[in-house]
Amino acid sequence: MVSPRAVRSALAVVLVVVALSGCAHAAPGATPTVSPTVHATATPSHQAGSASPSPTASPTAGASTSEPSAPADTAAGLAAAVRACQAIAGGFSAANVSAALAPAAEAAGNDPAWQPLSDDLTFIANNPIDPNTGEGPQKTVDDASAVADMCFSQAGVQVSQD
Amino acid sequence: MATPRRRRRTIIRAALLALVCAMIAGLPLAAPDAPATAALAQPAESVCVDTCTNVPATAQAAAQSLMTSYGNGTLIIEWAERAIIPAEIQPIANGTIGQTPQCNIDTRTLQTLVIIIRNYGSVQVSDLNRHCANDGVATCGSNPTSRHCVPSSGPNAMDITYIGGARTRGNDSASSILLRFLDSFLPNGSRAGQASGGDNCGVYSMPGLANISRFTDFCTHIHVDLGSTTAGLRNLRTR
Repeated sequence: MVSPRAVRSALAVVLVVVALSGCAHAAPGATPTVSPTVHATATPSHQAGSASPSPTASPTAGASTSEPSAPADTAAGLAAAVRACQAIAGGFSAANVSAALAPAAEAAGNDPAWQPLSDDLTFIANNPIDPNTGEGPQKTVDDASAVADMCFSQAGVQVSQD
Repeated sequence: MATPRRRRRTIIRAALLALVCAMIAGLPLAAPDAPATAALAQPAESVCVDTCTNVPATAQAAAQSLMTSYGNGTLIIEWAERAIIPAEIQPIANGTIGQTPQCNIDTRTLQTLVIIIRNYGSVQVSDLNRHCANDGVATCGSNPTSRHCVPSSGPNAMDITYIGGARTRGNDSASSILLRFLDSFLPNGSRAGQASGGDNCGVYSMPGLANISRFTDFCTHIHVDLGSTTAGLRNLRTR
């Protein structure tokens, strides 16, 4: 028969083991990101659109200009949004932004959740940053960041902000 | 049949074995930065205290400090962007940057590089102001909204590929060490470009940070910028 003292000793050791394991998992270096926009497990660009969250979950969705009674075609909206995001994947050059406008508008037409994407790209196209001097509206830069975030988090496409 | 004493000994041995196993298994998670720490050239602060003391207050003074570092090999510029010294940092140090204002760099970025060199012994940079030094691929034409290109008064982004001899790809422990340190003095609203986890960047951990948010980037470097904030570096002190 195991003595009570032995049982207590074993329990104490087990408690120490559990505590140490817990501490290890809570170490700062192993803490997942607290990033408000990017998740380490989010869909990378080579899986564009294949496993991304529904665009209807957009936190910035609003201000729809489409027919309020028209039902959203989320699949068609996502497909068009992926094309728009892929067009600007390399950066927000004038040519890339221009190429993204039509699919972004198509995405917004299919699903109002993509309206911010279309609006932001339209603003960037109409208010570009001068590539020679860096002059241009701050809103253009901020909108580019918002578009890149939306493309990655909702369309699964990585857009360069570097 | 085993005696009570033998049973007790067996239980204690098993518990001790479990303890050792748990410690071994838990060690990498508890100290993920150990390999990078070992690779760094000198003991480093995890929070900017001594290294944030008497930081050059002006762009010119910070650039002069960086020119000294460049001269003694502790500021290393990658070959493709070698124009960073003659086109950007040297004119700021000389006080002649007004002749080529498109080549200017944000004062806080210059100060940050000074602090990084102080803390880790050296830094290798692959990008600052792309208007005047770039590799021909990542240019302000290809991405004019990059913080390497805006604002026109002086972009504030920096791409870092080594600190103290440890490679920083944005998906490694050296990058985590650097980000935690930067988080102790960069202004709130700063940003880091880190690997998305795709593009063969592998699995990586991200530290929880208070002042630096993230966007996805390729794992060839760690990108750091100050976003749209105009606030100065925090916790700088004079002695």
